[in-house]
Amino acid sequence: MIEAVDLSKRYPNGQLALDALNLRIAPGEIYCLLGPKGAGKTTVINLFLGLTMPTAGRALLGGCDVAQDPQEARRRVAFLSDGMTFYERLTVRQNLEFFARLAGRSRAVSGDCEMLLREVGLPEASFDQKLAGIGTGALRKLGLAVAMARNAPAILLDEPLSGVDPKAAAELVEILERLRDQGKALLITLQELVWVRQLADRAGFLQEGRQVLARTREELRYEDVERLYLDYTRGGLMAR
Amino acid sequence: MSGSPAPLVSLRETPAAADRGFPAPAAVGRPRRVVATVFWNEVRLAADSIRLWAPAVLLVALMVLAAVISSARFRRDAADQAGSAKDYARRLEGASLDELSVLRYPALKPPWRLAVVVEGGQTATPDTYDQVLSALEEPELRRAAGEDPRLSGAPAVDWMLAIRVVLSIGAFLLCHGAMSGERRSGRLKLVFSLPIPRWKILAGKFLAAWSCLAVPFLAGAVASLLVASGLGGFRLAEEDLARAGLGVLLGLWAAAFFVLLALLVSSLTREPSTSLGVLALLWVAAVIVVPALSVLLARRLQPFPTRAEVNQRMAEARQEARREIAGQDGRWRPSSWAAADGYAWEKISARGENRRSFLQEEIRRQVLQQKLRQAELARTLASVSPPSLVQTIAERLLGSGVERDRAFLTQAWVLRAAMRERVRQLDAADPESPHILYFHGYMSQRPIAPGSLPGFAFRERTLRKGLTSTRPALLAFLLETLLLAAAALFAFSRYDAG
Repeated sequence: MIEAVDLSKRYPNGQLALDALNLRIAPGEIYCLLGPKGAGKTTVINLFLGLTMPTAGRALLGGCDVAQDPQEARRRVAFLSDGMTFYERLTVRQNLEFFARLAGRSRAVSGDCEMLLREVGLPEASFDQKLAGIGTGALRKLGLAVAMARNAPAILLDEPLSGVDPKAAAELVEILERLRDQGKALLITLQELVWVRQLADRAGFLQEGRQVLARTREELRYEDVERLYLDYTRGGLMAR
Repeated sequence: MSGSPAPLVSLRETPAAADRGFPAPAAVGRPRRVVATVFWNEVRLAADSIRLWAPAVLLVALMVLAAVISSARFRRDAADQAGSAKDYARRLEGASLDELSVLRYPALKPPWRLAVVVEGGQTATPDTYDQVLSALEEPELRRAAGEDPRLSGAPAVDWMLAIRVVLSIGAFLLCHGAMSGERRSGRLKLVFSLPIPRWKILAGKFLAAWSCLAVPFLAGAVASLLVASGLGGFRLAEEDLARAGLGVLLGLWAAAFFVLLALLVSSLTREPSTSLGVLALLWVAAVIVVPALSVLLARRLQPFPTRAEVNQRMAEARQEARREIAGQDGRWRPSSWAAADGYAWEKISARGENRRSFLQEEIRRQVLQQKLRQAELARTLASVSPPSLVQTIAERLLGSGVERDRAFLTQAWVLRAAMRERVRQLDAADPESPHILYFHGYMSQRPIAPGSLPGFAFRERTLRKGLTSTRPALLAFLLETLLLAAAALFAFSRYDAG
């Protein structure tokens, strides 16, 4: 369970980055957090990773308060970000092995690596290729493999589809759906609205740190998500 | 709680919905051997980078070059000193006690065998102290090698230069992006999202960078010692090897210091380029600016008299000596004439000249001591900079530098006193001598047995004394290193992954 209870963050300069966020993501559920740049999406991720401390409220992972026991909480979560680049001088396999070992898969890794790389749809020929010549889509798949190697019950993904070509994005979405089916709880920040309807079990809209809208999969099916997003990001509508 | 990771399940073998649930934390692996994992990854990355190979090759090359240069200088200085000693022995052969009074006897500071480790100015400072018993002659402090003074030769190249310049730059190149680079790439956020204590990441990175520098340094040390003893034509005694071993330990310690400094700066900056810029500034300040300023400051704070001032004091000493004998000096007659009145005038003249010589010798000693103190002060002031502190520690620990020069002068002056006493005894044993010490023509004409005179054998400082005198500097460096480590840990523990 990924849970935020009145989660707030105000930076020392006075800026309110997140204002009393409440959400619950159950195992086997994907929650998409939408919003423009600076809306507070990455702050939410950072709060769940324990990289920044909340000024009010609580971030819980499987019932463990991140602020109280960040190390224990981190054992329950895996993470992927769009801004992440791996070691270019290492091969795909070496990168995965390194992060898997760091994540505690020191024994299982050698046997699991290839399986994970196949799971995320990377061609076998790329396993021993150095990262220098690999595209964004493949890098994102590697990132997903690294996150999967953690075998954590909760996965946080910060803009996982950003900058990825449509084919790779579709493959990534398919993997994310499979992770949901495996019982993982996924919190995904997104700007690519085109995928929201397919991916999200529920979605929330963030605007200047406040959750201004929440929708279920059913509701999203009958609404014009793009229209809603544009209306809210322009600040023309109040929360419904 | 079990730390063994749960088996990975293929996505294609999705468990039944009933089994879905939030797994207990025990099912998730607890990271183990984090330091080793980070260590080997960093080593692998460094091994594939010019940032390691360039300084490593340069380090080994510089250390071997130091060995070639120091061994060449050792052979040259040893040959020159052997020439001086041989010349003295030849002139001493068959000489009478009376002739000995004007014979220059050299005290020779042997070439420094461990110049390859820390040269400490030993190939530039005087290594020959020619003294003479007669008050009418002046002693001469010089280098045995009669070199062209316009050709000062190459600057000192030793392990310390390699440590100060190459090892420090190597550490900075390897580690400037250790944190800021990882942050920029976004990897640090991923690493921080893992249940790993940050100190383990720092420790892994530190050990990897340190090892990457330690290996070429050790290889360079072994190679340079072999080359130095092979080309220098000498065998390293056990104590020499112990000293060289201390030099190696000091180098490894310095490498750790530089790596910690680079990690600290990298943990305080957000961009690798900023980190490298800050480290470059620190390097220039520590390696170039501080030592240069310390020399200027030492000249101002601990001046020694100019040549004109020394001449003035010498003249005053002469006046003082003349006053003491009421201006009756300078009366020297042939021995056959002077014997008639028991050398009455000559004894007065000798007293005056000996007094003048004593006073002037004191002035020379004071000036030499002031020069040594000035050099010591410059070294102490420069020790504000850690690379210079390492140099100071090496010099004191191994027995090189200013302390070796001071020991040489002290021992040479002891030789002078011993020589005077021995000659006085030998002259007193000859009833036919006028006993006017130490004036040519007025002393015993008996031939001397060279073996009956005190010789000079320079005593190097023992390792134990070196350790004792280095203790404050060692403590200071230890404190600096610990503070740096604590600061790096603190900065990294608060580092914002972005």
